[in-house]
Amino acid sequence: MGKNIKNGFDEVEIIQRRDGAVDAKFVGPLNARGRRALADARLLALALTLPAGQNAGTAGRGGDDTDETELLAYLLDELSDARRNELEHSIRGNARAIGRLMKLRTALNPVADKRGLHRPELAARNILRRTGQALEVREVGKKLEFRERHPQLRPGPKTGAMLNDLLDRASTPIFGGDLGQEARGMLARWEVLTRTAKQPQAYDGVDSELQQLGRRLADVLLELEEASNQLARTIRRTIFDTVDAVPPRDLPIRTAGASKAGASVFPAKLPGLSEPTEDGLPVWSDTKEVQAGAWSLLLEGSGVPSPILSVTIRRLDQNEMPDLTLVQPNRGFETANVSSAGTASVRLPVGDSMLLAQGEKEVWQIPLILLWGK
Amino acid sequence: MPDPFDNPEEYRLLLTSVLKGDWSAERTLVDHLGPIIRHVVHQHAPPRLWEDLTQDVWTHLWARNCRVLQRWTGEGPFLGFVWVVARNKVWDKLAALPPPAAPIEDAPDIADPDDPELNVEMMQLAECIRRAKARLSPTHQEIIHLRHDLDLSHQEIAEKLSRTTGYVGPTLARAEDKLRERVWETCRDHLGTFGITFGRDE
Repeated sequence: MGKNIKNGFDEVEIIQRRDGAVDAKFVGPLNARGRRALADARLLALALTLPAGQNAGTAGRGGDDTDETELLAYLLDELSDARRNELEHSIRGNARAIGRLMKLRTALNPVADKRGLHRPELAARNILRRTGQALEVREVGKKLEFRERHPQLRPGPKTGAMLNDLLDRASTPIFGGDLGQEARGMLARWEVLTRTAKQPQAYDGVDSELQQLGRRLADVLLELEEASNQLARTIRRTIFDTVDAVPPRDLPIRTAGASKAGASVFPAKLPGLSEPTEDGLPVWSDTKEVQAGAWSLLLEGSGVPSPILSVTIRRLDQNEMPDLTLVQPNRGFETANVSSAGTASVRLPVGDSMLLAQGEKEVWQIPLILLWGK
Repeated sequence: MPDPFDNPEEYRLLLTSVLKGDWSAERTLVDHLGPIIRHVVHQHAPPRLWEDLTQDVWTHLWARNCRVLQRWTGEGPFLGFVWVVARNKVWDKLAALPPPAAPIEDAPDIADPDDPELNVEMMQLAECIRRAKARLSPTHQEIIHLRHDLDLSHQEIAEKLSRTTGYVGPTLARAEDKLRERVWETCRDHLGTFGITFGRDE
Protein backbone atom coordinates (compact mmCIF):
# COMPACT_ATOMS: atom_id res chain seq x y z
CA MET A 1 0.00 0.00 0.00
CA GLY A 2 1.20 3.50 -0.83
CA LYS A 3 1.94 6.16 1.70
CA ASN A 4 -0.88 8.36 2.88
CA ILE A 5 0.69 11.76 2.30
CA LYS A 6 -1.85 14.46 2.98
CA ASN A 7 -0.29 17.47 4.67
CA GLY A 8 3.26 17.29 3.42
CA PHE A 9 4.18 14.41 5.74
CA ASP A 10 3.38 10.72 5.90
CA GLU A 11 0.39 10.27 8.19
CA VAL A 12 0.98 6.55 8.56
CA GLU A 13 4.50 7.20 9.73
CA ILE A 14 3.18 9.70 12.29
CA ILE A 15 0.83 7.07 13.73
CA GLN A 16 3.60 4.47 13.73
CA ARG A 17 5.97 6.86 15.49
CA ARG A 18 3.32 7.75 18.05
CA ASP A 19 2.58 4.11 18.82
CA GLY A 20 6.23 3.03 18.87
CA ALA A 21 5.72 0.79 15.83
CA VAL A 22 8.85 2.23 14.14
CA ASP A 23 12.16 3.25 15.60
CA ALA A 24 12.65 6.99 15.11
CA LYS A 25 16.39 6.32 14.70
CA PHE A 26 15.72 4.54 11.40
CA VAL A 27 13.23 7.01 9.93
CA GLY A 28 15.10 10.21 10.79
CA PRO A 29 13.93 13.41 12.49
CA LEU A 30 10.62 15.08 11.73
CA ASN A 31 10.28 18.61 10.47
CA ALA A 32 8.14 21.20 12.29
CA ARG A 33 4.91 20.21 10.51
CA GLY A 34 5.53 16.57 11.26
CA ARG A 35 6.16 17.31 14.94
CA ARG A 36 2.95 19.30 15.10
CA ALA A 37 1.06 16.41 13.48
CA LEU A 38 2.66 14.02 15.98
CA ALA A 39 1.51 16.22 18.87
CA ASP A 40 -2.03 16.28 17.47
CA ALA A 41 -2.00 12.51 16.93
CA ARG A 42 -0.94 12.01 20.55
CA LEU A 43 -3.67 14.37 21.74
CA LEU A 44 -6.28 12.50 19.73
CA ALA A 45 -5.07 9.19 21.17
CA LEU A 46 -5.40 10.59 24.68
CA ALA A 47 -8.83 12.10 23.93
CA LEU A 48 -9.96 8.65 22.81
CA THR A 49 -9.24 7.34 26.31
CA LEU A 50 -11.71 9.77 27.93
CA PRO A 51 -14.48 7.90 29.76
CA ALA A 52 -17.97 8.48 28.42
CA GLY A 53 -20.81 10.34 30.12
CA GLN A 54 -20.58 12.40 33.29
CA ASN A 55 -17.31 10.74 34.24
CA ALA A 56 -15.52 12.38 31.33
CA GLY A 57 -15.48 15.80 32.93
CA THR A 58 -14.44 14.78 36.39
CA ALA A 59 -12.00 11.95 35.68
CA GLY A 60 -8.70 12.79 37.27
CA ARG A 61 -10.02 15.45 39.66
CA GLY A 62 -7.22 16.56 41.91
CA GLY A 63 -5.03 13.73 40.69
CA ASP A 64 -2.96 15.60 38.13
CA ASP A 65 0.22 17.24 39.36
CA THR A 66 2.19 17.09 36.14
CA ASP A 67 4.30 20.18 35.69
CA GLU A 68 3.22 22.31 32.75
CA THR A 69 6.76 22.53 31.39
CA GLU A 70 6.77 18.75 31.13
CA LEU A 71 3.46 18.81 29.28
CA LEU A 72 4.96 21.38 26.95
CA ALA A 73 8.03 19.21 26.37
CA TYR A 74 5.67 16.30 25.69
CA LEU A 75 3.86 18.25 22.98
CA LEU A 76 7.12 19.43 21.44
CA ASP A 77 8.45 15.85 21.43
CA GLU A 78 11.34 16.73 23.72
CA LEU A 79 10.85 13.97 26.32
CA SER A 80 12.78 10.70 26.37
CA ASP A 81 10.84 7.61 25.22
CA ALA A 82 10.72 6.21 28.75
CA ARG A 83 9.46 9.44 30.33
CA ARG A 84 6.92 9.96 27.56
CA ASN A 85 5.48 6.47 28.01
CA GLU A 86 5.32 6.98 31.76
CA LEU A 87 3.54 10.30 31.32
CA GLU A 88 1.08 8.91 28.79
CA HIS A 89 0.13 6.07 31.07
CA SER A 90 -0.37 8.43 33.99
CA ILE A 91 -2.73 10.72 32.08
CA ARG A 92 -4.70 8.20 30.03
CA GLY A 93 -8.37 8.82 30.80
CA ASN A 94 -7.51 11.78 33.03
CA ALA A 95 -9.80 14.53 31.74
CA ARG A 96 -8.09 17.29 33.66
CA ALA A 97 -4.60 16.45 32.40
CA ILE A 98 -5.82 15.94 28.84
CA GLY A 99 -7.72 19.22 29.00
CA ARG A 100 -4.57 21.03 30.19
CA LEU A 101 -2.62 19.49 27.34
CA MET A 102 -5.18 20.60 24.79
CA LYS A 103 -5.25 24.15 26.15
CA LEU A 104 -1.47 24.22 26.03
CA ARG A 105 -1.53 22.99 22.44
CA THR A 106 -3.70 26.01 21.58
CA ALA A 107 -1.10 28.30 23.12
CA LEU A 108 1.48 26.90 20.71
CA ASN A 109 -0.20 28.53 17.76
CA PRO A 110 1.28 31.97 17.07
CA VAL A 111 -1.45 34.59 16.95
CA ALA A 112 -1.04 38.08 15.60
CA ASP A 113 -2.55 40.04 18.45
CA LYS A 114 -2.06 43.78 18.62
CA ARG A 115 -2.89 43.83 22.32
CA GLY A 116 0.29 41.93 23.04
CA LEU A 117 2.37 44.40 21.08
CA HIS A 118 1.66 47.35 23.32
CA ARG A 119 4.32 46.69 25.95
CA PRO A 120 7.13 45.51 23.67
CA GLU A 121 6.45 48.51 21.41
CA LEU A 122 6.64 50.82 24.37
CA ALA A 123 9.79 49.15 25.67
CA ALA A 124 11.41 49.28 22.22
CA ARG A 125 10.47 52.93 21.80
CA ASN A 126 11.85 53.84 25.19
CA ILE A 127 15.23 52.30 24.44
CA LEU A 128 17.45 54.36 22.20
CA ARG A 129 19.54 52.31 19.81
CA ARG A 130 22.76 53.97 18.85
CA THR A 131 25.61 52.85 16.68
CA GLY A 132 29.16 53.48 17.82
CA GLN A 133 32.47 53.48 16.01
CA ALA A 134 32.85 50.45 13.76
CA LEU A 135 36.15 48.59 14.19
CA GLU A 136 38.28 46.20 12.22
CA VAL A 137 40.09 43.55 14.22
CA ARG A 138 43.01 41.40 13.15
CA GLU A 139 45.06 38.73 14.82
CA VAL A 140 48.77 39.51 15.13
CA GLY A 141 50.77 36.88 16.97
CA LYS A 142 49.10 36.29 20.30
CA LYS A 143 47.26 39.58 20.29
CA LEU A 144 44.33 41.21 18.59
CA GLU A 145 44.79 44.59 16.97
CA PHE A 146 42.10 47.15 16.24
CA ARG A 147 41.55 50.07 13.95
CA GLU A 148 38.61 52.26 13.13
CA ARG A 149 36.60 51.11 10.20
CA HIS A 150 35.81 53.79 7.69
CA PRO A 151 32.18 53.78 6.55
CA GLN A 152 31.99 52.03 3.21
CA LEU A 153 29.23 51.63 0.71
CA ARG A 154 27.91 48.06 0.65
CA PRO A 155 27.70 46.83 -2.95
CA GLY A 156 24.43 45.13 -3.83
CA PRO A 157 21.90 44.83 -6.65
CA LYS A 158 19.59 47.43 -5.14
CA THR A 159 22.21 49.84 -3.79
CA GLY A 160 22.17 52.17 -6.81
CA ALA A 161 18.37 52.37 -7.00
CA MET A 162 18.02 52.93 -3.26
CA LEU A 163 20.61 55.70 -3.25
CA ASN A 164 19.09 57.40 -6.29
CA ASP A 165 15.74 57.38 -4.54
CA LEU A 166 17.27 58.75 -1.38
CA LEU A 167 19.12 61.47 -3.27
CA ASP A 168 15.92 62.47 -5.08
CA ARG A 169 14.43 63.17 -1.69
CA ALA A 170 17.62 64.74 -0.35
CA SER A 171 17.94 67.06 -3.35
CA THR A 172 14.66 68.83 -2.69
CA PRO A 173 15.03 72.50 -1.83
CA ILE A 174 14.20 71.76 1.84
CA PHE A 175 17.54 70.18 2.60
CA GLY A 176 20.51 68.66 0.89
CA GLY A 177 20.83 71.01 -2.07
CA ASP A 178 24.44 70.99 -3.29
CA LEU A 179 25.25 67.99 -1.12
CA GLY A 180 22.65 65.92 -2.92
CA GLN A 181 23.91 67.04 -6.34
CA GLU A 182 27.48 66.22 -5.41
CA ALA A 183 26.46 62.78 -4.19
CA ARG A 184 24.49 62.14 -7.36
CA GLY A 185 27.58 62.81 -9.51
CA MET A 186 29.66 60.53 -7.32
CA LEU A 187 27.01 57.81 -7.43
CA ALA A 188 26.91 57.89 -11.24
CA ARG A 189 30.69 57.48 -11.31
CA TRP A 190 30.48 54.70 -8.67
CA GLU A 191 27.99 52.77 -10.78
CA VAL A 192 30.19 53.07 -13.88
CA LEU A 193 33.24 51.89 -11.94
CA THR A 194 31.29 48.98 -10.43
CA ARG A 195 30.39 47.75 -13.89
CA THR A 196 33.94 48.33 -15.16
CA ALA A 197 35.47 46.40 -12.27
CA LYS A 198 33.49 43.30 -13.23
CA GLN A 199 34.87 43.25 -16.77
CA PRO A 200 37.97 41.19 -17.53
CA GLN A 201 39.68 44.13 -19.29
CA ALA A 202 39.27 46.45 -16.29
CA TYR A 203 42.25 48.81 -15.91
CA ASP A 204 44.64 48.61 -12.97
CA GLY A 205 43.59 50.60 -9.98
CA VAL A 206 39.84 50.49 -10.67
CA ASP A 207 39.25 48.62 -7.41
CA SER A 208 41.17 51.18 -5.41
CA GLU A 209 39.34 54.07 -7.11
CA LEU A 210 36.05 52.29 -6.41
CA GLN A 211 36.89 51.91 -2.75
CA GLN A 212 37.90 55.56 -2.39
CA LEU A 213 34.74 56.69 -4.10
CA GLY A 214 32.69 54.37 -1.89
CA ARG A 215 34.24 55.91 1.20
CA ARG A 216 33.58 59.46 0.01
CA LEU A 217 30.03 58.57 -0.89
CA ALA A 218 29.50 57.03 2.54
CA ASP A 219 30.78 60.27 4.12
CA VAL A 220 28.32 62.31 2.09
CA LEU A 221 25.49 59.98 3.14
CA LEU A 222 26.38 60.52 6.79
CA GLU A 223 26.40 64.28 6.24
CA LEU A 224 22.99 63.99 4.59
CA GLU A 225 21.74 61.99 7.55
CA GLU A 226 22.98 64.65 9.93
CA ALA A 227 21.29 67.34 7.80
CA SER A 228 18.01 65.42 7.83
CA ASN A 229 18.29 64.83 11.59
CA GLN A 230 18.72 68.55 12.14
CA LEU A 231 15.70 69.21 9.98
CA ALA A 232 13.69 66.54 11.83
CA ARG A 233 14.65 68.05 15.18
CA THR A 234 13.66 71.52 14.04
CA ILE A 235 10.28 70.29 12.80
CA ARG A 236 9.78 68.33 16.02
CA ARG A 237 10.58 71.36 18.16
CA THR A 238 8.17 73.47 16.12
CA ILE A 239 5.45 70.86 16.53
CA PHE A 240 6.02 70.76 20.28
CA ASP A 241 5.76 74.54 20.42
CA THR A 242 2.63 74.75 18.31
CA VAL A 243 0.64 71.52 18.75
CA ASP A 244 -0.85 70.11 21.93
CA ALA A 245 -0.66 66.50 23.14
CA VAL A 246 2.04 65.29 20.77
CA PRO A 247 2.98 61.65 21.48
CA PRO A 248 6.64 61.05 22.44
CA ARG A 249 8.73 59.71 19.63
CA ASP A 250 12.36 59.16 18.89
CA LEU A 251 14.44 57.98 16.01
CA PRO A 252 14.94 54.24 16.40
CA ILE A 253 18.58 54.25 15.41
CA ARG A 254 21.09 57.01 15.66
CA THR A 255 24.64 57.08 14.49
CA ALA A 256 27.28 58.64 16.65
CA GLY A 257 30.17 59.84 14.52
CA ALA A 258 33.63 58.94 15.75
CA SER A 259 34.68 62.56 15.67
CA LYS A 260 32.12 63.40 18.36
CA ALA A 261 33.43 60.85 20.85
CA GLY A 262 34.23 62.21 24.27
CA ALA A 263 37.58 62.32 25.99
CA SER A 264 39.20 59.09 27.14
CA VAL A 265 38.55 58.02 30.72
CA PHE A 266 41.37 55.50 30.68
CA PRO A 267 44.99 56.37 31.61
CA ALA A 268 46.69 58.68 29.15
CA LYS A 269 49.31 56.13 28.08
CA LEU A 270 46.59 54.14 26.33
CA PRO A 271 45.91 55.24 22.78
CA GLY A 272 42.69 57.09 22.24
CA LEU A 273 41.03 57.52 18.89
CA SER A 274 43.70 57.10 16.27
CA GLU A 275 44.49 59.73 13.68
CA PRO A 276 44.42 58.75 10.02
CA THR A 277 47.76 57.98 8.43
CA GLU A 278 48.98 59.39 5.13
CA ASP A 279 47.16 56.76 3.10
CA GLY A 280 43.91 57.86 4.67
CA LEU A 281 43.50 54.73 6.77
CA PRO A 282 43.60 54.67 10.58
CA VAL A 283 46.51 52.95 12.33
CA TRP A 284 46.33 49.58 14.03
CA SER A 285 46.53 49.48 17.80
CA ASP A 286 46.45 46.64 20.34
CA THR A 287 43.94 48.45 22.55
CA LYS A 288 41.02 50.55 21.48
CA GLU A 289 38.72 52.78 23.44
CA VAL A 290 35.20 53.20 22.14
CA GLN A 291 32.74 55.73 23.48
CA ALA A 292 29.26 54.35 23.93
CA GLY A 293 27.09 57.03 25.48
CA ALA A 294 27.35 56.82 29.24
CA TRP A 295 30.03 54.18 29.02
CA SER A 296 33.51 53.88 27.66
CA LEU A 297 34.65 50.47 26.47
CA LEU A 298 38.31 49.57 26.34
CA LEU A 299 38.84 46.70 23.93
CA GLU A 300 41.82 44.38 23.79
CA GLY A 301 42.20 40.71 23.17
CA SER A 302 44.22 37.62 22.55
CA GLY A 303 44.35 35.47 19.44
CA VAL A 304 45.55 32.21 21.00
CA PRO A 305 44.12 29.60 21.00
CA SER A 306 41.14 31.38 19.46
CA PRO A 307 40.28 35.08 19.27
CA ILE A 308 38.95 36.34 22.61
CA LEU A 309 37.80 39.92 22.97
CA SER A 310 38.28 41.46 26.42
CA VAL A 311 36.28 44.53 27.36
CA THR A 312 36.84 46.86 30.30
CA ILE A 313 33.90 49.13 30.99
CA ARG A 314 34.10 52.53 32.64
CA ARG A 315 31.07 54.56 33.53
CA LEU A 316 31.28 58.19 32.48
CA ASP A 317 28.71 59.21 35.09
CA GLN A 318 26.81 57.48 37.86
CA ASN A 319 25.09 55.31 35.31
CA GLU A 320 24.46 51.59 35.70
CA MET A 321 26.85 49.01 34.29
CA PRO A 322 25.68 47.74 30.88
CA ASP A 323 25.11 44.12 29.91
CA LEU A 324 27.37 42.99 27.09
CA THR A 325 26.36 40.66 24.28
CA LEU A 326 28.17 39.76 21.09
CA VAL A 327 25.77 39.19 18.21
CA GLN A 328 26.77 37.38 15.05
CA PRO A 329 24.15 38.17 12.39
CA ASN A 330 22.21 35.11 11.20
CA ARG A 331 24.28 32.87 13.49
CA GLY A 332 23.49 33.58 17.13
CA PHE A 333 24.74 35.54 20.12
CA GLU A 334 26.85 35.12 23.22
CA THR A 335 26.29 37.01 26.44
CA ALA A 336 29.31 38.06 28.48
CA ASN A 337 29.50 38.03 32.26
CA VAL A 338 30.54 41.49 33.40
CA SER A 339 32.55 41.33 36.64
CA SER A 340 32.08 43.82 39.45
CA ALA A 341 35.28 45.50 38.21
CA GLY A 342 33.62 46.04 34.84
CA THR A 343 35.60 43.47 32.84
CA ALA A 344 34.23 40.84 30.49
CA SER A 345 35.47 38.47 27.81
CA VAL A 346 33.73 36.99 24.84
CA ARG A 347 34.73 34.81 21.90
CA LEU A 348 35.13 36.83 18.73
CA PRO A 349 34.00 35.06 15.54
CA VAL A 350 35.59 35.62 12.16
CA GLY A 351 33.68 38.07 9.99
CA ASP A 352 30.99 40.52 10.98
CA SER A 353 29.68 40.72 14.52
CA MET A 354 28.25 43.38 16.77
CA LEU A 355 29.07 44.14 20.37
CA LEU A 356 26.00 45.35 22.26
CA ALA A 357 26.26 47.44 25.42
CA GLN A 358 22.74 47.31 26.86
CA GLY A 359 21.30 49.44 29.60
CA GLU A 360 17.81 50.38 30.77
CA LYS A 361 17.52 53.39 28.51
CA GLU A 362 19.86 52.80 25.61
CA VAL A 363 21.60 50.12 23.61
CA TRP A 364 24.90 50.81 21.90
CA GLN A 365 25.90 48.74 18.91
CA ILE A 366 29.59 48.52 18.08
CA PRO A 367 30.07 46.85 14.67
CA LEU A 368 33.18 44.65 14.54
CA ILE A 369 34.79 42.67 11.77
CA LEU A 370 37.49 40.11 12.51
CA LEU A 371 39.61 39.87 9.39
CA TRP A 372 40.81 36.44 8.43
CA GLY A 373 44.30 35.75 7.16
CA LYS A 374 45.56 39.36 7.15
CA MET B 1 9.83 32.45 10.49
CA PRO B 2 10.24 29.82 13.20
CA ASP B 3 7.51 27.39 14.14
CA PRO B 4 6.86 26.49 17.80
CA PHE B 5 7.46 22.87 16.80
CA ASP B 6 10.70 23.72 15.03
CA ASN B 7 14.24 23.25 16.28
CA PRO B 8 15.41 25.57 19.07
CA GLU B 9 18.01 26.96 16.68
CA GLU B 10 15.29 28.81 14.75
CA TYR B 11 14.31 30.72 17.88
CA ARG B 12 17.94 31.53 18.56
CA LEU B 13 18.21 33.15 15.13
CA LEU B 14 14.97 35.06 15.66
CA LEU B 15 16.24 36.28 19.02
CA THR B 16 19.51 37.36 17.40
CA SER B 17 17.56 39.60 15.02
CA VAL B 18 15.51 40.99 17.90
CA LEU B 19 18.67 41.91 19.81
CA LYS B 20 19.90 43.91 16.82
CA GLY B 21 16.67 45.92 16.88
CA ASP B 22 14.90 44.26 13.94
CA TRP B 23 11.32 45.38 14.48
CA SER B 24 9.72 42.75 12.22
CA ALA B 25 11.56 40.02 14.16
CA GLU B 26 10.22 41.59 17.36
CA ARG B 27 6.67 41.37 16.03
CA THR B 28 7.13 37.73 15.09
CA LEU B 29 8.46 36.96 18.55
CA VAL B 30 5.52 38.74 20.17
CA ASP B 31 3.09 36.72 18.04
CA HIS B 32 4.75 33.52 19.22
CA LEU B 33 5.02 34.41 22.90
CA GLY B 34 1.62 36.12 23.24
CA PRO B 35 -0.51 32.96 23.52
CA ILE B 36 1.94 31.32 25.95
CA ILE B 37 2.04 34.38 28.21
CA ARG B 38 -1.72 34.74 28.22
CA HIS B 39 -2.03 31.03 29.00
CA VAL B 40 0.32 31.29 31.98
CA VAL B 41 -1.31 34.43 33.37
CA HIS B 42 -4.84 33.03 33.00
CA GLN B 43 -3.78 29.83 34.68
CA HIS B 44 -2.14 31.37 37.73
CA ALA B 45 -3.94 34.64 38.43
CA PRO B 46 -7.49 35.83 39.05
CA PRO B 47 -9.17 37.54 36.06
CA ARG B 48 -9.05 41.03 37.62
CA LEU B 49 -5.21 40.89 37.43
CA TRP B 50 -4.83 39.37 33.95
CA GLU B 51 -4.26 42.59 32.07
CA ASP B 52 -1.74 44.06 34.54
CA LEU B 53 0.19 40.84 34.95
CA THR B 54 0.39 40.26 31.20
CA GLN B 55 1.91 43.70 30.77
CA ASP B 56 4.30 43.06 33.68
CA VAL B 57 5.52 39.88 32.05
CA TRP B 58 6.09 41.64 28.72
CA THR B 59 8.01 44.43 30.43
CA HIS B 60 10.14 41.87 32.26
CA LEU B 61 10.94 39.96 29.07
CA TRP B 62 11.77 43.08 27.06
CA ALA B 63 13.81 44.96 29.68
CA ARG B 64 17.46 45.71 28.89
CA ASN B 65 17.18 44.52 25.32
CA CYS B 66 15.49 41.22 26.25
CA ARG B 67 18.12 40.41 28.87
CA VAL B 68 16.02 37.60 30.34
CA LEU B 69 15.53 35.93 26.98
CA GLN B 70 19.27 36.11 26.37
CA ARG B 71 19.72 33.74 29.32
CA TRP B 72 18.10 30.91 27.40
CA THR B 73 20.93 28.45 26.78
CA GLY B 74 19.25 26.51 24.00
CA GLU B 75 18.74 23.46 26.20
CA GLY B 76 15.08 22.58 26.07
CA PRO B 77 12.38 24.37 24.13
CA PHE B 78 12.48 28.16 24.02
CA LEU B 79 8.75 28.40 24.69
CA GLY B 80 9.23 26.21 27.77
CA PHE B 81 11.86 28.64 29.03
CA VAL B 82 9.52 31.58 28.45
CA TRP B 83 6.76 29.66 30.20
CA VAL B 84 8.90 29.26 33.34
CA VAL B 85 10.03 32.89 33.30
CA ALA B 86 6.45 34.11 32.89
CA ARG B 87 5.16 31.82 35.64
CA ASN B 88 7.86 32.92 38.07
CA LYS B 89 7.14 36.56 37.33
CA VAL B 90 3.43 36.03 37.92
CA TRP B 91 4.15 34.24 41.19
CA ASP B 92 6.48 37.02 42.34
CA LYS B 93 3.87 39.64 41.55
CA LEU B 94 1.12 37.71 43.31
CA ALA B 95 3.31 37.19 46.37
CA ALA B 96 3.99 40.91 46.54
CA LEU B 97 0.31 41.83 46.59
CA PRO B 98 -0.97 43.12 49.94
CA PRO B 99 -3.23 40.65 51.74
CA PRO B 100 -6.95 41.37 51.29
CA ALA B 101 -8.31 43.64 53.98
CA ALA B 102 -11.86 42.21 53.91
CA PRO B 103 -12.95 40.05 56.85
CA ILE B 104 -12.64 36.37 56.09
CA GLU B 105 -16.35 35.64 56.51
CA ASP B 106 -17.10 38.06 53.64
CA ALA B 107 -14.46 36.60 51.34
CA PRO B 108 -15.68 34.60 48.34
CA ASP B 109 -15.11 30.87 48.21
CA ILE B 110 -11.80 29.72 46.80
CA ALA B 111 -12.07 28.90 43.10
CA ASP B 112 -12.37 25.22 42.23
CA PRO B 113 -8.87 24.14 41.14
CA ASP B 114 -10.46 21.51 38.90
CA ASP B 115 -11.89 24.23 36.66
CA PRO B 116 -15.59 23.37 36.16
CA GLU B 117 -15.58 25.03 32.74
CA LEU B 118 -12.85 22.68 31.56
CA ASN B 119 -14.72 19.70 33.01
CA VAL B 120 -17.80 20.59 30.95
CA GLU B 121 -15.69 21.06 27.82
CA MET B 122 -14.06 17.65 28.35
CA MET B 123 -17.44 16.02 28.86
CA GLN B 124 -18.66 17.54 25.62
CA LEU B 125 -15.53 16.47 23.77
CA ALA B 126 -15.86 12.88 25.00
CA GLU B 127 -19.45 12.85 23.78
CA CYS B 128 -18.47 14.26 20.36
CA ILE B 129 -15.82 11.56 19.98
CA ARG B 130 -18.23 8.82 21.06
CA ARG B 131 -20.78 9.90 18.44
CA ALA B 132 -18.16 10.24 15.71
CA LYS B 133 -16.80 6.80 16.53
CA ALA B 134 -20.26 5.30 16.16
CA ARG B 135 -20.45 6.66 12.62
CA LEU B 136 -17.25 4.92 11.50
CA SER B 137 -17.18 1.64 9.58
CA PRO B 138 -17.02 -1.52 11.74
CA THR B 139 -13.40 -2.13 10.66
CA HIS B 140 -12.34 1.34 11.72
CA GLN B 141 -14.32 1.14 14.96
CA GLU B 142 -12.68 -2.14 15.80
CA ILE B 143 -9.13 -1.04 15.14
CA ILE B 144 -9.62 2.14 17.19
CA HIS B 145 -11.11 0.08 20.01
CA LEU B 146 -8.17 -2.32 19.98
CA ARG B 147 -5.57 0.42 19.90
CA HIS B 148 -7.02 3.04 22.22
CA ASP B 149 -9.49 1.32 24.52
CA LEU B 150 -7.49 -1.86 25.02
CA ASP B 151 -4.10 -0.17 24.54
CA LEU B 152 -2.75 -2.93 22.30
CA SER B 153 0.43 -2.49 20.24
CA HIS B 154 0.39 -2.71 16.44
CA GLN B 155 1.89 -6.20 16.68
CA GLU B 156 -0.82 -7.38 19.09
CA ILE B 157 -3.56 -5.86 16.93
CA ALA B 158 -2.14 -7.64 13.86
CA GLU B 159 -2.20 -10.98 15.71
CA LYS B 160 -5.71 -10.39 16.95
CA LEU B 161 -6.97 -9.59 13.44
CA SER B 162 -4.83 -12.24 11.75
CA ARG B 163 -3.21 -9.56 9.65
CA THR B 164 0.30 -8.19 9.23
CA THR B 165 1.65 -5.11 11.02
CA GLY B 166 1.86 -3.53 7.56
CA TYR B 167 -1.95 -3.54 7.55
CA VAL B 168 -2.39 -2.04 11.02
CA GLY B 169 -0.49 1.27 10.60
CA PRO B 170 -2.25 2.52 7.43
CA THR B 171 -5.69 1.28 8.54
CA LEU B 172 -5.36 2.93 11.92
CA ALA B 173 -4.16 6.16 10.29
CA ARG B 174 -7.18 6.14 7.97
CA ALA B 175 -9.55 5.33 10.83
CA GLU B 176 -8.24 8.22 12.94
CA ASP B 177 -8.35 10.56 9.98
CA LYS B 178 -12.00 9.66 9.39
CA LEU B 179 -12.74 10.11 13.08
CA ARG B 180 -11.09 13.51 13.08
CA GLU B 181 -13.12 14.51 10.04
CA ARG B 182 -16.39 13.37 11.60
CA VAL B 183 -15.73 15.28 14.80
CA TRP B 184 -14.80 18.38 12.86
CA GLU B 185 -17.82 18.17 10.56
CA THR B 186 -20.43 17.87 13.26
CA CYS B 187 -18.91 19.51 16.32
CA ARG B 188 -16.67 22.34 15.10
CA ASP B 189 -19.06 24.99 16.40
CA HIS B 190 -18.72 23.85 20.01
CA LEU B 191 -15.21 22.39 20.10
CA GLY B 192 -13.82 25.71 21.28
CA THR B 193 -10.08 25.64 21.89
CA PHE B 194 -9.95 21.88 21.28
CA GLY B 195 -10.83 22.41 17.63
CA ILE B 196 -7.17 22.91 16.78
CA THR B 197 -6.53 19.19 17.27
CA PHE B 198 -9.30 18.23 14.89
CA GLY B 199 -9.23 20.92 12.23
CA ARG B 200 -5.62 21.00 11.09
CA ASP B 201 -6.58 21.20 7.40
CA GLU B 202 -8.35 24.50 7.94
